[in-house]
This record gives sequence, C-alpha cells and structure tokens, in this order.
Amino acid sequence: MLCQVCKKREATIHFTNVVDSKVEKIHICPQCAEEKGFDYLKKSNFAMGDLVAGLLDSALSDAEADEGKGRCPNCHRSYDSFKKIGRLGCSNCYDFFQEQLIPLLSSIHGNTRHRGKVPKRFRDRVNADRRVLELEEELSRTIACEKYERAAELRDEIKRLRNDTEGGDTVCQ
Amino acid sequence: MSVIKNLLEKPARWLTDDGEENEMVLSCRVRLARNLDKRPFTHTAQPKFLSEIRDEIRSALAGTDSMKGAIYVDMDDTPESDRMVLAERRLISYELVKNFKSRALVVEPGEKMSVMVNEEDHLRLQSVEPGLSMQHAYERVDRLDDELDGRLNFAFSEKVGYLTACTTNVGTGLRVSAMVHLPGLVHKKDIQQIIDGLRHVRLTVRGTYGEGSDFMGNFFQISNTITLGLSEVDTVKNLEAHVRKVLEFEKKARNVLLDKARSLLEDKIWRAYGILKTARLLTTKEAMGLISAVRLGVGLGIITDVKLPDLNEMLIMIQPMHLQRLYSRSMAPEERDRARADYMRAKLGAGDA
Repeated sequence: MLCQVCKKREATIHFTNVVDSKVEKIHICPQCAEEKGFDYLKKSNFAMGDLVAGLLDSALSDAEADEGKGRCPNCHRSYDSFKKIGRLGCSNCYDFFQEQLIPLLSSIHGNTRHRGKVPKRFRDRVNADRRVLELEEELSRTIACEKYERAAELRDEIKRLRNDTEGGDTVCQ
Repeated sequence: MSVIKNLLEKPARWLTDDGEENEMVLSCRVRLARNLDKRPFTHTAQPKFLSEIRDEIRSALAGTDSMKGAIYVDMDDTPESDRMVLAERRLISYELVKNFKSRALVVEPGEKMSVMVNEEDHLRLQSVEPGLSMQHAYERVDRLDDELDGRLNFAFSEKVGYLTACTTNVGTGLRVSAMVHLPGLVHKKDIQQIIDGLRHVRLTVRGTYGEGSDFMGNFFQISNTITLGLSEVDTVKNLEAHVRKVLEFEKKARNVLLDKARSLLEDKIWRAYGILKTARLLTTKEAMGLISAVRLGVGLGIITDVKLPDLNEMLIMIQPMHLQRLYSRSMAPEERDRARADYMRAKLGAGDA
C-alpha cells in the first residue's frame, strides 16, 4: 500500500482514528510520518484525537493542494476540522473563515462586535472607528428629527475621521 | 519537587485573607485568554513551536512588576501527582494535568496571581481574591495584561477583539466568576429558581468541587457566559450586581430558616460539627456536606470556635492528592477516607486526635 501523503513510498505505519464514531484509517510512510510530526504521536500521550485530526487535515491538504481553497493559509486548517474539534487552528482563521464565523458568534454571544479593551498598537484606529459608529448612530437620530444642520456637521466629522483612519492605506483621497 | 513543597507549606492567601461578604462568598476569580498573533493555537502547534511559545511567554512575564518573585513551574519536569496538587489548588486545569508537554505555570507565592502557559490558549492570566472582590481581581489581571502588551504581540481583530482558540471566549477573553455558598437557598428549595434566573441573564451557574450538575456542599460558581459585545468593566459590574442580588436572597432565606425552623437548623449544624469531630471514615462528598453545614453555622454565629479561613483551607486539603501529600504516601480510596477523617479531627481539635 502506498503512503497517502507522498503517494510514492510504501506505507508502513497504519493508524486508525475514530472521530464521532466514524472510523478513519491513515496509511503513511516513515518519512512523511516524521515530517508531519507523527513519530511524536507514538511517544507521548498528547491529545491524540487532536493531532491525528490535524495530520489528516495536512494529508488531505496535500491532496487538495491544487484547489487551495477552504483552508486557512496560515495554519492550513479547514472549517470542517474546526467543526470537529470546536477550536480554531490559529488567529488568522478568524479572518479567513469570517463569513462562516460571524453567524456563529452572533448565536453564541448575541453580538458580533468587540466593545472591550484594545492592545496599544490598535488603540488609535479602534477608538476612531468606535467614534465613527457613535456619530453614525447620532446622525440617523438627527435625520429622524429633521435637524439637518446638525446632520451636515456630523457627516463632515464622520468623513474627516474616516479619512484619518484610512489615510495610511489609501493612495487617493 | 521543592516548588510544590513550598506551595503546600501554607494555604493560599485567597483562602485565608479577609474579604467582603466572605461568609457567603469564598472567592472571586478572573481570567483573561490571550494568544500570540499568527502562531498556531496550542492544540494545533507542533511540539517545537509550543516550547518556543512557552519560552517567549516566560521571558515576557519575567520582566513584569505584576509577576515579580513569581515561581516558574515547567510541566515537563513536574510529575503527575504534583500536577494533580496544582489542579486541586485551582492553579492549573485538569486539561493541563493530562496534556503537559511544553506547558507551564507561573505563580506568585501567595497564589493570587498566576499564568497558565499553553493551555487551550497560549496565555491564561488568572487572578483570585477572597470574598466578593471581582473588581479588584480584574484590576490586577488587567494590569498584568497591560504590562505584557508590547512585550508580546497578542492576536487581536478590530472587529471581534482578542482571538481565542474557542469561539466562546473571543472578544474580551474574560471570564469572571464568584464562588458562593448558598445553603439557605438550597434548604428553602429556591435554588433552581435562582439558577434559572441567572441563566436567563446569560450567566452560567455550576456546582463547584463536584463534576457536572452535582451541587456538592451547596457551593456554586457563577460566571459570565458572553465575551463579545460587552466591555470588561461592564462584564464585571454586571456579574457583581447579579451576585449581590443572589446574596440578598440567600440572607433572606437564612433568616426565614432561623425564624421558622431554628431548632431544626441548629440541630443540623451541631450534628454536622459533631460528626466532623468524631468520624473515622469520611468520603469527599460527605465531608463537603458537613463542612458546608458548619460554614453556615459560623456564618449565622451559631458556631464560634471555628474560623472561616480554616474551613476554606479544609475544602482544599480534603481532596485526594492533598491528603496523600499531607500523609506522605499514596493511598487507596478507603485509606483516604480514613485519612480525611483523621485530618478533620486534628484540624477541629477533637480530644482524641
């Protein structure tokens, strides 16, 4: 039997993994096993399920390399693996799986926007963003009560703040 | 290991220090979950990445004022029995007892502040204070977080906040909890109503010292459920307000019990005290129930020769690994029941101990 990762060498390590009562078999050669950190598995009582699921993922990712989609480019995890183990692979997954995650976050927390503490390096930007959100809320209130002069002021202020925060990235303003 | 020995020599300060409402609130706990940007989360990281992450966090912590004089415990060098001791002292999770490779604990000698390294998240900053003190506990952990910000590059998104391995912690990464003792509400059979009410306002209630739904010893842990969309300060204030309300109900329940069933209540409390002072075999569960009754007796001024800090310490010491450490040998469960009873008699100054 050929190794399912490199598809060249003979598979000499055979492993059975059970996830949610589904049995999955892994056949892999010693070289690929070492590369994927599989030899470590044998020596430790690390969370086996987790690592094996990870191994399966990376094995699959090789097979799917041409497609290259559906996997976080930073940690090569799929959304399916998140569903299986309930934990994301790395911080970049939040960005990459944003579309799937937002409804989930909404159902867990009843909210999708952070309103708490911010690390120093993000502080100016986030404060400006939060100010814009506040002003936008005020703007819709002022329009509702037909205070157009104030609305115009608010619109200018929002525009100015937006330009400030985006200034660094945008070429034309 | 000598580090563990040092910890075992005296009870943790959060158990023995004075605290507001401490006849009903044992302690408040706060934890912040943090991860290093772009690195694989603990459960996906290869061993060599995990030890890199651990070492980076270790040196960042060493430079902070908050953790000055703290002890570094490398889980790789810590045998399972010692890891169990740390778990029984609520310093590490049972997850870390099981998965210990490249994991670590950094703890200050008084055990009020600690950091778990490479648990579900790369960092779990923890602070515990006696009594109803969650604001103070939060301030301490917040200060440590400020000190680490810059030394470490935390994973953060402008939209959803601090990024965590599990989506239930994303946002503030903050879990605040109070461990409360509610025998009045349990005896009056009002407890389920209170629990349902707390769930309704998105707070979580768990029986503590017992697994799952078993409310052992009438101790409950009340904590926030959501971490996204609410600021840290509001999360803490909100929980404190609800806990204060629960304490009001508990006080009322205790007064009703005293008014309507004084003899019955006194009898239950004194019998519990008597058993603790004389029993030869005690299971954890039974000991918990009896300590709970004596604690109520102390809170109501019925029993005056036992102090709350001593009762708090007993809750830790009657656990299996602590008992085995105390008597310096490994014991089968039946032997532990004997040792537990011996310990209680000695601690309560029973004549024969």
